Amino acid sequence: MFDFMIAGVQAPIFLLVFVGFTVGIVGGFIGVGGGYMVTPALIVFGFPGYMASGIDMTHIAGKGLVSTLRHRQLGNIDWTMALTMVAGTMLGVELGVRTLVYFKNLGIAGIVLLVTSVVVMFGLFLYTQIETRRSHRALDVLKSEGRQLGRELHTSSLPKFFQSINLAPIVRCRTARVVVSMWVIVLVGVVTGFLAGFLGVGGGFIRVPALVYLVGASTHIAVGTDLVEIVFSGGYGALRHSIEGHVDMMAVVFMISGALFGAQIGSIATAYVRGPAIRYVLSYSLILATFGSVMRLIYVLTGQKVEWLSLIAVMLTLGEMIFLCLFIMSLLYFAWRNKRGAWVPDWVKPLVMS
Amino acid sequence: MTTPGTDIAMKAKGNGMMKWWINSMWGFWLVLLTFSLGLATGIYYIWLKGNI
Repeated sequence: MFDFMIAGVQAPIFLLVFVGFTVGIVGGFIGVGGGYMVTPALIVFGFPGYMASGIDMTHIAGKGLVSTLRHRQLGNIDWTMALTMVAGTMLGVELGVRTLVYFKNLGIAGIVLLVTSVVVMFGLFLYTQIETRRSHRALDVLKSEGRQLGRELHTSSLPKFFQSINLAPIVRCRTARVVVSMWVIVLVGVVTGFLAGFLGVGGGFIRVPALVYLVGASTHIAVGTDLVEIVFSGGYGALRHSIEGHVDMMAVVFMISGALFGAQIGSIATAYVRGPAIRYVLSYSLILATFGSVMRLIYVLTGQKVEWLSLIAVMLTLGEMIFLCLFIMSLLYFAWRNKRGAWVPDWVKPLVMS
Repeated sequence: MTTPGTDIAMKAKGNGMMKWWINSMWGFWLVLLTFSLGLATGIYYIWLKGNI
């Protein structure tokens, strides 16, 4: 029911809108395009891989623009940081793509890609999760002492090290309230761009933690600033895929119709939570994506014979989108209750604005 | 290392098992994840089986 042929596929329209909506909420909240969730989902819906990638990239460009505009209104974008990083990102993506071609020529690109994505995502999850728990506890202590809490607190000592690098020119990022060497921002762009180009993703899930833990931006600013990058990379990717004929606009329209609402809700939700809440959601997203990749890796290593491994990977992909969306909506609901003075769980109190 | 909030939830008077699921971050996480994976399984069997 409500299905018709899109790009030769009997596509469930409701699911396209649903995926657009859920990933829109997640993307607007944690500052990612969500390609690592959407592309596998579209493949599961029956779209060929190249088409899934093209449709995903085009919808990311539209959704990224909506989220960026909303984050701009919320004052979450540092343009100096964003534009400085774009240069490094472009160089990094080019290096990443060339490295991928090198492994492709050796005939081991598939395995190397899966292993790298598992290692990178699990490493980021571990660091983000440990640091965020530490921040959560620190906020808990401050709250119990009756102190006034700001919207950000992170306990990593890495930003101090990177901000102490005295290599001219030094950039003053006014919105982020960060003074740092331009080369640090460019380097972050190169490294995250390299990983994004190599893994074939937008790279938001790498850039947001990098901006927080290396450059020292607050999580809200990192999310908004990263979305600017996503508009650039998504826009360019959409153009390239359109030229190659990989985009079916009908599928994009259905996805964007959901994403437009989702992206607004996700972006606005950031105004009601503190930085660690966003980092929690990001780390959950990373660990679930890691499990999905591990399943796919085992599936490939076992000669693609164990069908249930592939099925679990599918469940995790769809389940991850629903879970993250529900978690964000729950935080928003708890924040609303907290503001009214109604009961909320103790663990929520330090995470939401009061 | 316990999840923030767990200690308080366990010490609170009259806390049943059900309240633990909401009052502890881990519990809440598990409830949402189980529900989400269940919904994903439903979606798969209703709309997607045969596409893969």
